Amino acid sequence: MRDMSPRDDADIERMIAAIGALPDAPMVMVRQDLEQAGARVLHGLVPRLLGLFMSKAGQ
Amino acid sequence: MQNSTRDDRDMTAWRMFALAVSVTAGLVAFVFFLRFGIADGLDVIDMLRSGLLLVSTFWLSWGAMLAFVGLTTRARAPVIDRSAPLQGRIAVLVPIYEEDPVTTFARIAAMDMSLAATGHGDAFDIAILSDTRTDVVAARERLWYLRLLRDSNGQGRIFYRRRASNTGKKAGNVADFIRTSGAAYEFAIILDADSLIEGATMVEMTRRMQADPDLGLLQTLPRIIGARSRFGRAMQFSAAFNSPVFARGLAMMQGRTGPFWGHNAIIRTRAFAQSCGLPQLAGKPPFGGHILSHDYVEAALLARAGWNVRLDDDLDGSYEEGPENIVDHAKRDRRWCQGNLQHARLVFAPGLRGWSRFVFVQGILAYLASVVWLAFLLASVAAPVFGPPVVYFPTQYWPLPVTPPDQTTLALALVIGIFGLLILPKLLIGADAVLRGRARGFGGWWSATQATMSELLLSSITAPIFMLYQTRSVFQVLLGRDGGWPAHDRGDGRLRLADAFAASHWIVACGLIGLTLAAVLSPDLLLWFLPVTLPMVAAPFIIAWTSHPGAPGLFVTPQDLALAPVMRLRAAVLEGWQAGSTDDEPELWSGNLHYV
Repeated sequence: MRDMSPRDDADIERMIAAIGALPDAPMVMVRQDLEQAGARVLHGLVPRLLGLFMSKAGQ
Repeated sequence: MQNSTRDDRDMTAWRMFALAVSVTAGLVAFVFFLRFGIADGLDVIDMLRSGLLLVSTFWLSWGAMLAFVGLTTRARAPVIDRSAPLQGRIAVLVPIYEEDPVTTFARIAAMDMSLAATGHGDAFDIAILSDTRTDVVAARERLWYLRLLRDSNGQGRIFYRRRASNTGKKAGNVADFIRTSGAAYEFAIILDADSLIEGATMVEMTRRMQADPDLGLLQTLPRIIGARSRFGRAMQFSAAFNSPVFARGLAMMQGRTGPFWGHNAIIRTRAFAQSCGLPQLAGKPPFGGHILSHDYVEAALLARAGWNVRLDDDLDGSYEEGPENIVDHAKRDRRWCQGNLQHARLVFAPGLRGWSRFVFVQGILAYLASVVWLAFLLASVAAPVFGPPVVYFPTQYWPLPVTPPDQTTLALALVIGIFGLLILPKLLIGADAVLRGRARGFGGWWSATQATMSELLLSSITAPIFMLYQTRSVFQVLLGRDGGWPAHDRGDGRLRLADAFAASHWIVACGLIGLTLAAVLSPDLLLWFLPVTLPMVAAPFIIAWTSHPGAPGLFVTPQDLALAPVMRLRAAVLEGWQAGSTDDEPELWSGNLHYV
């Protein structure tokens, strides 16, 4: 059994990183397309408020 | 197949019915108010008020229809083979961000024990996904992770990792797990830091996913637990008593395009990875950047990819904690408001199902409704300025407004109708619970009735306060102010009057201004504005009073009468940890853990 008496934070962090390491089994997260083509950013309260109703808020 | 076709037909029928009723209710309110308003001649303000009332009544009616559908349909547990072994491995994901590790990890220990008791514990791993930024909190997380491992003998089953950067917040945290380890797991149960789920429920969720290969996500209905304050316990009661009925209605209407609330749900890892990689939106927050209310979007994306997303409201044993006071509730609501308004950019995202788009609109309306109500009230105060004076109260002691006879009837019908939409669903749910015996779980019919009436009273008193908080949130978002990602306050939530005043002095000012305007511009209608303006003026007292514990016998829930097994386990773990240890306990560093 290893000695795990108190040690400095960096050592402890490395130890936890090793003990707690997640399984190495990568999976690709496929980036999705959500933006409308030609979207542009709206500025100001009124354009954004109108944009809410026209589904262009902030674009 | 026949069953699913029938379910789809039922769902479409309910959707059309609920929409038709809600639109009709809105239109009736519009016409009634217009006829009432034109008694003194039609003007712009009458048109404006009628339009605002149309939107508000539609929204109220939509909520009432959810309850109606929920009361008239019954959940059907799917027919599955519960003796079959679990296939594949399941990860239980616990994303954390600046949480108290003692209480959070005690929940994990309890769920681990609960899973072990099912005999299927070996199929589950637990992954604590820390996004904590504060080094002090992170150091405590590491310490208590070791304690958790030691007490549960969990090395190799319970994992802990802290991200170097919390890109994408919770959604980014989960995505990071999938990119690192997703291929090791067929399913992942996504929790919040305050989630608690029975082991048997997690096994059942897995079985239901196994039984339906087209199911990409299964959402449970979490009950609120652990509330102590008046406000918290009222919400806890409502979540246990009313929410199952509303959720049933929602499940029936959403069908295969169901909701995802971000936690207490199980995903098919492959489906999630293929469909739910969220992009950053162009521009800066609050409308650009990371998608804040990612759960709605992920549900929509799964449906877009052809996966089913389902809410199984019959699943018990799923719990979460709620805010203990109005201020914490408003802070959380601010975050949700920003997330929901951001969805305005996604309503016409390519390929989404029609219902997913409608869900985005509903989420936006949930916050705009407050703005609409406030605009209606302000327009009503200002209305006399735009029209000739009308004598509403010709008789000294008659408390209701009197317009020309036919219009008074109309106005009263409108008021009764709107109040009916507000309170009738909850009254019907109460009556249904008493008649079907469900009230026994809430301390009996009298206790359930008392709680229902008290909750109605409390929600009526707090409604004007929430209306202003939500309106402020909407305008903050529209003005481009990012609400950030504040850590949750999961303390006991008691607020001193001074703290409550600091959080609500502007609401008091709004209430006083409203009272003054009503007194000056519409003195005859002053009485009608009091239920709205008085709670605003008294906001600090209401906020402080509701943040403190109330009568112990009020708002009884089934968990008050008999703690759920996983809650008992959690209480026992927490008691042991809090009694015997401190954060500096050196013995934690000498256990049977293997540094590999």
